[in-house]
Amino acid sequence: MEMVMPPPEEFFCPTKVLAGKRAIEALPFELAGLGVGKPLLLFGSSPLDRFRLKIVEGALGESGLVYGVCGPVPTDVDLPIVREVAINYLENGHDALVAVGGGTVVQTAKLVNIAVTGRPEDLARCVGEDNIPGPLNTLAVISTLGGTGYESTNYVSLGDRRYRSGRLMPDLMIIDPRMMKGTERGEGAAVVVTALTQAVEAALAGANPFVVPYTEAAIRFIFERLPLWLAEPKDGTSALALANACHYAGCAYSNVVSGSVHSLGRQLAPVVGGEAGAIMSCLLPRYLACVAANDPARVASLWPYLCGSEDYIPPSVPERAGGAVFAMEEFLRKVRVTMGWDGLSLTALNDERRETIVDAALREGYGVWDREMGLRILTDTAKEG
Amino acid sequence: MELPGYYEFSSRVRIIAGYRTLERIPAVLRASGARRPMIITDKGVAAAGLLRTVVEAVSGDCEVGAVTDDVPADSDLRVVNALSRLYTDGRCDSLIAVGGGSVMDTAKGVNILVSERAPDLMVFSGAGTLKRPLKPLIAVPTTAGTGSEVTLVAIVKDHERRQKMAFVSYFLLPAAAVIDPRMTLSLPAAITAATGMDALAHAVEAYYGLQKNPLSDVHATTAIRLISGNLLRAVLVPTDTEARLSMAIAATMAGLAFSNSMVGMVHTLGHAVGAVCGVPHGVCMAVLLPYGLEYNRRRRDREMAELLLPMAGEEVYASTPPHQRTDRVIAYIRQINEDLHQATGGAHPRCFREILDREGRPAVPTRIFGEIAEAALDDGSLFYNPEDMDYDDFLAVLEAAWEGRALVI
Repeated sequence: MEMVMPPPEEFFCPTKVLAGKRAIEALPFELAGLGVGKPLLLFGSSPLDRFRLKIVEGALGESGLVYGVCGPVPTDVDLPIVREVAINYLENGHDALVAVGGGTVVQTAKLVNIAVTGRPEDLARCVGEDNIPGPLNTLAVISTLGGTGYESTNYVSLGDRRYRSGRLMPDLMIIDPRMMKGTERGEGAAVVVTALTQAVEAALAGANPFVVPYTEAAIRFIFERLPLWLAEPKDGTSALALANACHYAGCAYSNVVSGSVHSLGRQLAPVVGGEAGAIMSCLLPRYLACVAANDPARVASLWPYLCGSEDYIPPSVPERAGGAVFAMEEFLRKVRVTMGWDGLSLTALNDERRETIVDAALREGYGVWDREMGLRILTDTAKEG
Repeated sequence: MELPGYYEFSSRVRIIAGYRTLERIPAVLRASGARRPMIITDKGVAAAGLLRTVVEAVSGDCEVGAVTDDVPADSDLRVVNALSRLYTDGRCDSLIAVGGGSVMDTAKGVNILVSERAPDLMVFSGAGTLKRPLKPLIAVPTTAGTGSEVTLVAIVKDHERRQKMAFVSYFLLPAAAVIDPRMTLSLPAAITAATGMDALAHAVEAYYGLQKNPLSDVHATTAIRLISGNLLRAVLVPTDTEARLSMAIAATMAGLAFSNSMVGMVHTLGHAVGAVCGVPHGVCMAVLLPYGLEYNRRRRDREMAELLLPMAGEEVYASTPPHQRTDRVIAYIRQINEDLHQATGGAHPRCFREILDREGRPAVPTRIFGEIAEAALDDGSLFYNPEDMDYDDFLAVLEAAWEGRALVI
C-alpha cells in the first residue's frame, strides 16, 4: 500500500490481545499486572452464554482470583440495567469489569464503566465524541465469534446516546477457542461481514500508516477463513482466526472516521429488514466500485489482500482496482448464497426515500463521505439487487 | 496468514505522527491532567538544536517546570536519582523524554521514583513490581531506530554495583509517542543509515522469529515497506521530511513488532559486539542482518521468502520463483548496505573489517571473536532464534561477517 504522509495522524489501541489455547487462564495474571484485585464478570442471557460463563469460571477456578458475577444481561440494554450493574460493582468493591461474550454484554460493560469510574451522571455528560475526561477502570472482554462487531471499538450507544472515545476500548481482549464453540453460522457470518466492512472502510479512509497492519490482517484472515468456517462451523482454527479478524477490524475502525457503508447499513436495516451484516454484504462491493471510480489507486492497494500476490499482478492501477472490486463482489456473493441471504431489494425505495436515508446516515455518522457517493451506492445496489 | 497456537500482542501507547506534532504535546498533557512537564534529553540532542525546538513547541501552551540535558550515553542510576530531585524541585507533574534509548530509559526510571516517591529505584526492578499508573510521560524519539518509545522496558545501570537493572511493566509505557520529522532532520547520514538498519533488523527478525504472531507480522512487513522506500532517500536527501517521517514511523512500527515477538541471533551477536567492542548497535545490526537469514533459513525459508514482497514490491515478488525469493531477500539486504556505504562516503560499514576505531584500527578485531562469542552465549534473545547456536556457530558467523562473505553452513 502506498504510504502517503497526510496531515498528522493519531493512532490509539490500548487493547492487549491474548489469543489461543487457554487464553482465559492468562486473565488473572494480566489483571494483576493492571493492579486489579476484584473484577466483576458480566454474562448474557442465552443458554450458550451461561455455558460460556461456566467455561470461564472453570478456567479461573484454581487461580485464586476473587471475582463477582452479575447477570444475565438482557438483549436490550437500558439505563435501569446499567444502573443495576453499576450499583453491584460499587457496593461490592469491584475494580474492573470482565464481559463474558459480546453484544449487549460488552455494551453494558462499557456503559457501566463510564458510570463507576466517575459518577453516574457522567453517562449524560460524556455523550458524544471524546468527552470522557480521564482513563476508565479496567475492562476485559472474553470474546466470542458473534455480537455486534463493535466490541473492540471505541464506540458504545445507549438508546439515542452515542459515545465515542478511545477510553472505551477494552484493556484486554481474550480470544479463546473454547468460546467459539456453538456459534451459529448466521451470527458468525453477520459479524464477520461487519468486520470486513470496518476493515475495508478503515483501509480506504485515508493513509494513516498505523491502521494498515490491522486492516491487512483482518482482511486476509476473513478472505482466507470465512469460506472454510461456513463450510464447516466446527473448524475451530478458522473460528479463532475470524474472531481475531473481528478484533483487528474494530481496532482499525476506531482510528478512522466512520464510513458510508456502516452509516447506510444502519439506516437501511429498519427500512428493509434483515441483518446489518447481510445488508453490508450488498453495499460493500458498490462502495468499493464507487471509490475505485474516483480513486482507483486506493482500491488497487487492496489487491494483495483480496487476490494474492503469488503469480500474477496486473500491471496497471485500474486493472488492479477492477480486480479488487470483482474479488470482493465474488466473495460476498458466495457468502450470501451460502447463507441464503437475499439480495438487498432497494427497488421499492424511490429517489426521495433514498435521499432521506442518505441524509440521515450523513447526520448520524462521523463520516466525511459525500452525499453523492451515498446516493450512488444505493442506486447501484438497487440495480444489482 | 499463520495463526499460532497462542500469542499476545500489545501496543498501548498513543502514537501521534506527522508534521508539527510537537505542538500537540500540551493538549496531550492536559488530557492526562498535567501542566508542568520536565523535559529530559542528552547533550547531543541539545547541541543539535532539537531541545530548543521542543521547548519552543510546548512552552507557549504549558509551563515547563525543568529542563535537563544531563543524560549520559548509557543510562545511569546516579543520573536518575539526580533528575528525580530536579523534578521535585521544579514542582513538575509530568515528563517529556526527547532522545534515543538512553534518554527513554532514564525518563522511565525517573518516572518510577517520582511517582512512587521512593528513594531506591532498585526495589522496583523486575517484572510486575509496579502496581499503579505513573506520571504522564511523553516520548519524543530523535532517532529512527530503537523503537524504545513504545516499549514497556527500561534498563538502568548501577555503575557502583556494576549491575544492570531491568524494569518491566505496562505502567512504564509512555502516555504518547510523538513522532515529528523535525526531530530527525539533522541526523547525520551515517547515523541515519545505522538506525534505519536497526529498524530493519527489528522488523525482519520479528517476522521470522519463534514468537511471531499475525499482528507483529503485519507491523513488521509494513515497517519493511516503509524502510525499503525511504531509508536511502533519507540518507541522500536529509532534508526530505517525508522520508524522515516515514523512517520514524517505520522504526516505531518495527519497535511494536519486535517488542511483541522478540528478536534473535542478529541481536544476540549484536549485543555482544556492542558490549565487548563498543560498536554502535545499528552498525552491528546492519552487518549481521544478512547472517540472521543465512543461518536460520533452513527452518524459516518460507517466512523469509515472504519478506521479498514488502522489500522489493509486488512485481519483483510475483516474477521471482518461490525457491529463489529468500536468496533475493538476502541479496537485497546486502545491496542496501552497499548503497548506504556509497551514500555515506564509506562511513556505513558493510562488514566488521570496515569498522575502525579512532586510531584507524579494526574495532572488531578477529583476535577477540572468542570473547564476543562467550558474551553472546548469555544473551536472552537467543532463546527466540529459530535455530540453536553454540560457541562455534557464533565464531563462524563472526568470521563470515568480518569479510562480509556469505555464510557457508
